[in-house]
Amino acid sequence: MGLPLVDLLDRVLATGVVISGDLVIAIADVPLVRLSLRALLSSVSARVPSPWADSGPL
Amino acid sequence: MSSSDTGTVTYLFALCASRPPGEALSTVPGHPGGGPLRTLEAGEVVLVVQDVPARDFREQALSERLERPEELERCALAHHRGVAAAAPYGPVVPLPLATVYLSDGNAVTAVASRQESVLALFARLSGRTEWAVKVHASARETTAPAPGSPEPSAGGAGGGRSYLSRASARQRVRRDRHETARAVALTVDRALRAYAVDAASHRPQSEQLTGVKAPQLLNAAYLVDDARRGEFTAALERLRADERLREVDISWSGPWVPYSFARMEQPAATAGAGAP
Repeated sequence: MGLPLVDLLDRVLATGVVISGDLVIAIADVPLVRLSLRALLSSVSARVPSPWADSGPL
Repeated sequence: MSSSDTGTVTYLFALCASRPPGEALSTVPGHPGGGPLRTLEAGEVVLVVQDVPARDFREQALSERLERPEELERCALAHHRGVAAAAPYGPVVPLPLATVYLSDGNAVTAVASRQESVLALFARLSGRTEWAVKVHASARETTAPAPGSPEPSAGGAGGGRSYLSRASARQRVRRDRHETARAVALTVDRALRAYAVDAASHRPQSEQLTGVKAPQLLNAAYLVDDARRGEFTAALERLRADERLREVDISWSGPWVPYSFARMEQPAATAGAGAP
């Protein structure tokens, strides 16, 4: 009973290398964790079934 | 300017050590409205990029989009597709969601200036994947009476005092149970670290997010050598089956691209290690 979408959001929102430079926007520099949580709390959890039909996250 | 409303900007998904075959990328649907996925090179580092409409990725537009759960989900999945497309061909360093440069040249320059650190990161992540493990307090334990902690007599003269003492006893039992479950979660974490190269904690997900009606005690990521993957998953199965750990429920997903370990330098005691 994985919850890959929730896990994915943990990963793409909160992690990753930040390479600045002439960046338009890197969400990692924005308080996105707050942003995402607000959005997420409302609904994503209702659709936890894996978005990857038969494969794993990789 | 390419950042005008009609222009495109360069969306950077990931960095990789070797160039994925063209069709491995061009067949992957990236962000809606954008071009096909392609690569750029900055010295020895390959960038996986896509031209995306500038108007969709302006700060204001992006914030609004990502406030809508279905858009956030779509965007996160598109990002992940771009990252995962390169993963079969060697170590991959994912960029954060919505990393966008004004032009290819800017992206290449930014990456080139960090080449040494990126190459070091490739070496560290090569042949390793990430596993997401979550530990919740067991749903069954939160309702059952705790063994060995007698309920105050239920009958009695009734009245406020006995109600209060029952309530505070229940609270105590709940607290004790939570403490026990927490300790068990740490045991699970320690056991898994033995098979991992590194571990990181994410903030616990809310019950609304997980849909699990029990407190989340551990939301961890483990970086595991491919050679030890079997041992790691066997350990997970063993922990889940262990009767002594019945205070908790263990769930996991993986293998993941090592998102949680794609950090340039380990900034002491930030998002990575340690409890939130």
